Amino acid sequence: MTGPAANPSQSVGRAGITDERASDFLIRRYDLEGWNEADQAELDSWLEESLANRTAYWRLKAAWTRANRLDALRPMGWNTTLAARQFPKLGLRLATAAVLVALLGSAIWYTGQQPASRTFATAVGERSNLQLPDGSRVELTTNTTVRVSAGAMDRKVWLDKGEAFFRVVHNDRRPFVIHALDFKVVDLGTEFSVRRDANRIEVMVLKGSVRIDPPAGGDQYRPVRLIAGELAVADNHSISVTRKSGTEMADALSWRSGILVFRGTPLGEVAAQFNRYNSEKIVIDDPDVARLTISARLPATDIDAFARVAKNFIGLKVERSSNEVHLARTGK
Amino acid sequence: MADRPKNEFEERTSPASGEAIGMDDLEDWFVREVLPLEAVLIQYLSRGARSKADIEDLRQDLYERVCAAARQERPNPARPFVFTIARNLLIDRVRHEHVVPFDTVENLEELNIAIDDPAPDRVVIARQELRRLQAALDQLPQRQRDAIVMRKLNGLSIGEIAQRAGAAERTVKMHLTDGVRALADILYRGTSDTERKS
Repeated sequence: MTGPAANPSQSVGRAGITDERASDFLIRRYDLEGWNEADQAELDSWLEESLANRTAYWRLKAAWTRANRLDALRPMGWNTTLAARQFPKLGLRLATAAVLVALLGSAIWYTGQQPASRTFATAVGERSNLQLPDGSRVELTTNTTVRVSAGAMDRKVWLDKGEAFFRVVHNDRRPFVIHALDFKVVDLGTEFSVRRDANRIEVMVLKGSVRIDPPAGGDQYRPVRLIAGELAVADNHSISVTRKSGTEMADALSWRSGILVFRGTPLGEVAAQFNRYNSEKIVIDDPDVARLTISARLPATDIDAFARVAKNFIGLKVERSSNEVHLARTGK
Repeated sequence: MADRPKNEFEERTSPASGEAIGMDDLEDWFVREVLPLEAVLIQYLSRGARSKADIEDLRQDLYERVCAAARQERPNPARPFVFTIARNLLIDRVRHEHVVPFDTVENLEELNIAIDDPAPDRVVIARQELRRLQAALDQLPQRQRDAIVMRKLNGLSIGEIAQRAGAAERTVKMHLTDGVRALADILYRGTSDTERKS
């Protein structure tokens, strides 16, 4: 008999107990194996007991049945970029689609051979989550390309463009290495992000630690180990490591939920951030305007929201032309 | 006969007694008319509750009362009917259990605000629903989400999921049962327990 497990993390009342029982019945009832007549009789008599039992069961069943719609995801996935094309403006995360893709792709991983790398990309304004069959996750922000390859001996990701956040299931015997420019970022059991610009990389560690191996040859430094809370900026000649507060890190990684966070940030930089995420570009010609600062949390792909803030809160003149949003002082 | 349904839409055809048919209608009505109100109802009930578990108990009592009443007569529209029962439930509590809500229950105005709220869209097109689901799944802890996706999307049984994940069936089942409860919370309230706590 498989009674519902109590959840020690919260106090459970009458309804909690009913819900646990209902969910236990439901999951067993709809499993593909092992539901028998006796189980059905048990469920029937439990439902007979009270309308409270029934409503609890109906409620969970309705949610469970709604999840059948996930079927619709089946045909999507392989083509384009991870089904993230129809990314809505306010940014729902499409991890599920990515999970699907990963699961479909898992056959390749399980064969144990070194597979060819697979490419995943997001266009401007898109975001995408990959789940790798080893349980590791890779979240891609806007305009990012990665190639992923997983063999029996190692796991490799090439960050060809953009920025990604990694949550790695660490395995000593199967190292997880990110290649960006000529650097290697080696997982040592961790969550971290890697961003690549034209000639430098930024690595920020949320949990655990990573090692950055500089490009081989040349005049550079030795491998550097980063721990949680550290941000490293590395180019071919130098690496600088700074400590970040939890808030700063959360702000910097808020793209993971489609949000950009600014705290006293100059508009010029705000515009640059937005322009990473949108094909419509924000243009500020007046350097005085670019120096104005703003504190806000805004959806990364919602240029309109930004335009409203600029107009209503800062009092700027907002002019839109083909694919550009110009910000200027009023009366000019 | 072990009447395991081939898929989850077939269940309704299995029970046979006259009583069960009435129950099916009631279930349809409950899922269609009452569950979409849950987010607002929870907000309303929380004013008369002592704890989180207490809110859930009130919710359970409310649904029970609502369905008991609806068996006699199906109210149309459902919304004011449900909120009237919610209000009576809170008043009863004040009387019998001396739970004094920090907001007065008699404040009908507030109740009316709740009643007049635009009802959530009932006709959700498939894509919206899909997005909502994806967003909901995204809020689940990873293991619960993975278990549900493998169960729903890949059609794996608990045993098969356990095999793939290298986990005990008990564990997988727990992820599924915890997952479906959290999923219901998220779908009907936009948030799950774990989220609300933090």
